[in-house]
Amino acid sequence: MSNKEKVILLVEDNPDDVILTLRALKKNKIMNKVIVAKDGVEALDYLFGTGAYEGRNLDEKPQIILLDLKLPKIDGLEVLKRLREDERTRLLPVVILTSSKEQRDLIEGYSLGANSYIRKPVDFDQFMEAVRHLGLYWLVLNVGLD
Amino acid sequence: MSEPEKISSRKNTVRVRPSWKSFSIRTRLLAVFVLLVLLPIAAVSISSPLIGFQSGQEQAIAVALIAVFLAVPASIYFARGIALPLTELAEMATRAAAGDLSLTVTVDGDDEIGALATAFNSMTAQLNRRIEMDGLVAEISRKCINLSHAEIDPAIDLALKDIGTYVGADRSYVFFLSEDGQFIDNAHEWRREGIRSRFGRLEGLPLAFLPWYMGNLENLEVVHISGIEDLPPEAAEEKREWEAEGIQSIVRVPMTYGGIFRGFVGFDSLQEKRVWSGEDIRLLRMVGEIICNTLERRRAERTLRASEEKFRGIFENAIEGIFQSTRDGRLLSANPAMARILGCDSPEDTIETYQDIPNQLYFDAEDRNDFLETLWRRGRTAGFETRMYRKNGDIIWGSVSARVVRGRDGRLLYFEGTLEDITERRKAEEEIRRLNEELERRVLERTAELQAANSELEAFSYSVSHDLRAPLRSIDGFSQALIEDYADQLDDDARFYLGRVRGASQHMGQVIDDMLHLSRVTRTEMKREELDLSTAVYEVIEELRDRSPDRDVEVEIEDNLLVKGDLRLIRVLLENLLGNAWKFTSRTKKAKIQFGREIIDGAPAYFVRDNGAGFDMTYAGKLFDAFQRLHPREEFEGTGIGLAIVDRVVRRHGGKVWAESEIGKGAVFHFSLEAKQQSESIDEQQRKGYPVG
Repeated sequence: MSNKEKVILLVEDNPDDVILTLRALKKNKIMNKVIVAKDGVEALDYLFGTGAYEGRNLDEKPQIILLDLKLPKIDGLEVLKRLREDERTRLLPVVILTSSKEQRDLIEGYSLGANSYIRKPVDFDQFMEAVRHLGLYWLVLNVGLD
Repeated sequence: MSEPEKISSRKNTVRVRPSWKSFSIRTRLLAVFVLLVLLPIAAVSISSPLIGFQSGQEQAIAVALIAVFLAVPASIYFARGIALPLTELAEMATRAAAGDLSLTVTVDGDDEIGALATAFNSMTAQLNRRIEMDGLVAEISRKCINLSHAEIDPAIDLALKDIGTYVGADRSYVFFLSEDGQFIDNAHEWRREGIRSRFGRLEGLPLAFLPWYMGNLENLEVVHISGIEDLPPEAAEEKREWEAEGIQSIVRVPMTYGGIFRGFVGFDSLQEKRVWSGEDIRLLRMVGEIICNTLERRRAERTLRASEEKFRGIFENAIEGIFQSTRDGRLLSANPAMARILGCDSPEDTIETYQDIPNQLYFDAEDRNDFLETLWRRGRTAGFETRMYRKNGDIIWGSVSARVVRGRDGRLLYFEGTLEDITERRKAEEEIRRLNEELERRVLERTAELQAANSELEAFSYSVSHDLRAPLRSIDGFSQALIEDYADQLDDDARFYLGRVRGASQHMGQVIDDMLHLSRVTRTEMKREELDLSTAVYEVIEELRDRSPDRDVEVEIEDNLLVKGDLRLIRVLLENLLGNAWKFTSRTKKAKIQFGREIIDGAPAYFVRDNGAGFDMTYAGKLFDAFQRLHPREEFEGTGIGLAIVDRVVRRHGGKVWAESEIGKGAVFHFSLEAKQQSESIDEQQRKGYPVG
């Protein structure tokens, strides 16, 4: 099931959530390389090869971006907006992965072009289930553009 | 109409002497010829042999002497018998021609001179009578001139008396048409002593009353009946009526005004049958004319006066100012209200004061131009509002409605219109505008405050949503990691405790979600629309059945319960109430849920009834508080947020919710929606024929 060339970009500032997400991926046998960005700026740097990622080969595009909304510096919705505005990242699949199920976040997320919206449940079992579905769909079933 | 003998016999002195004068003048002239010519000749011829006239000359002289002798008494006789009456007659004629008709010629004998005298006397009598009648008419006419309205009736009564007496009628009268021409009234009556009055009995008669003679009169024909029995068959009604009244002869002459039938005057004769003369009719016609004119004049004047009084009353007592003004800005007239509005002493003072309306009256002279422009364009203005100066210089707001008055030739005569003092109204409007602005400002302030509070609340919710849940995920997630990754190092107690940790954190997650839900119900915007409560209940029940297909619950739903409300919130309300009923009947055999409407205290209340666990009414007060539970969680799960949400939804609709129950006997939850909507619903119910109360 795994596909090591396909990179997952996880944008998440909460280290606990990073650990638990990685664990959920691993438990679901999703072995892809995971790049973790701890805030919006870092995520954009990675995507556009700037800052710490200066000179990165931009042909290497993440298979999927798991994007938290509440982030330091530049929040998730802003990240989404910017990468949808850029030709190079316009078509990347973005799954919003967040604690909130506030209506305005949902609406804005989708209207900015999020492909999916997953609310992180408190119950880890439910989270595992959600990640399993997510990996199955976006990493296995979905036919990308490359 | 033949000449009435009665009149001539009444007025003339006729003396008839039994003498030879009854022979005609020709006979008498023959007698004189015999006396003066033949008699002397005969006498001389017979006596000449006796006396011895020798010559014819002597005889002739004798004849002449005798003739002369006889001529003296003959001429004396002629002077007395022919010349004198003729001279007298001629003198009388001269005096009569001079206007003295009181003279009567003595008629001696029935010779030519007697006949001449009789004719002369008849002529003077007629002339006399006509002049008398004309004098009577002239007198009546004179009396009817310049009468005050009150004097008219007695004058007409008197005129009727005069003419009635004059012609020797038993009754004279006037019938006058009503103003609309629909009815006729016996307006005036005179009657000879001893004759029964019918005055007052014949009022407001329809024109079709006695149609035959009325028809004739309306055609402006004289009705002249000397004997009632001679009436034609079509006048049967008249005959009956007049016979009943005892009338023997009747004459009625139409009165006209402007050539149009307006009534009639007439004479009745009750005591004897009589033929009415042309003179009688002429008299009626002339007097009728005078009476009709008088009555019509009074009627016209009364109408005019009434109308003048009406308009004068309006003009004098109007609350609005009424004016006439010229194009160049002078006042022609003003009523008292106009004076009052402009602070003048009197209408006259107003007219004197405002000689230059554009500059004296108008606060803004431009307004006068606008006013004129509108008048030119439309011929009138309505409610033209402008500021104007009072006499003392105060400024008032006036509303002017005016129109252009033009002459027959289209030339502008003047403007006329009304002025209303709207200063108070203007002030009130100004005050309202000020209050509105104030209100608007305060609403804006309050809205800003509310918006600030709301965004604070939202920021709080957002933070709770994100930040409070994240640690719970860690607690649960890492507990799970311990259980999974270190299963072999944990004993049963450790695993049990970790299970409790996970349970608690998941419950807290649920509580946070419910809190957010509750706050969302409060914050969310309401959209009121007509919705079918019954259908919503069906849908919620279907969802409940889907979620627990193993449950067997009997559900009874009243159809067509229409309400106005926010569909989303009402759905939340029903989900909670029906969800509760569903939940608390989970341990009941033959579970049953009912939904319907009842009228409580005159207003509709909707209810959800179940036969489930019920609750202790002692704690009913806590029922709708957030996170209050009446059952242990082991028995029925839940955070205790559901009824708090129901309460919020109902309150936001302006209604209330209450519950009744007994442990083990089920519960019933009633809720109402907005009060106003309730009464409408009752009306609707009654229209639809549902029993109410």
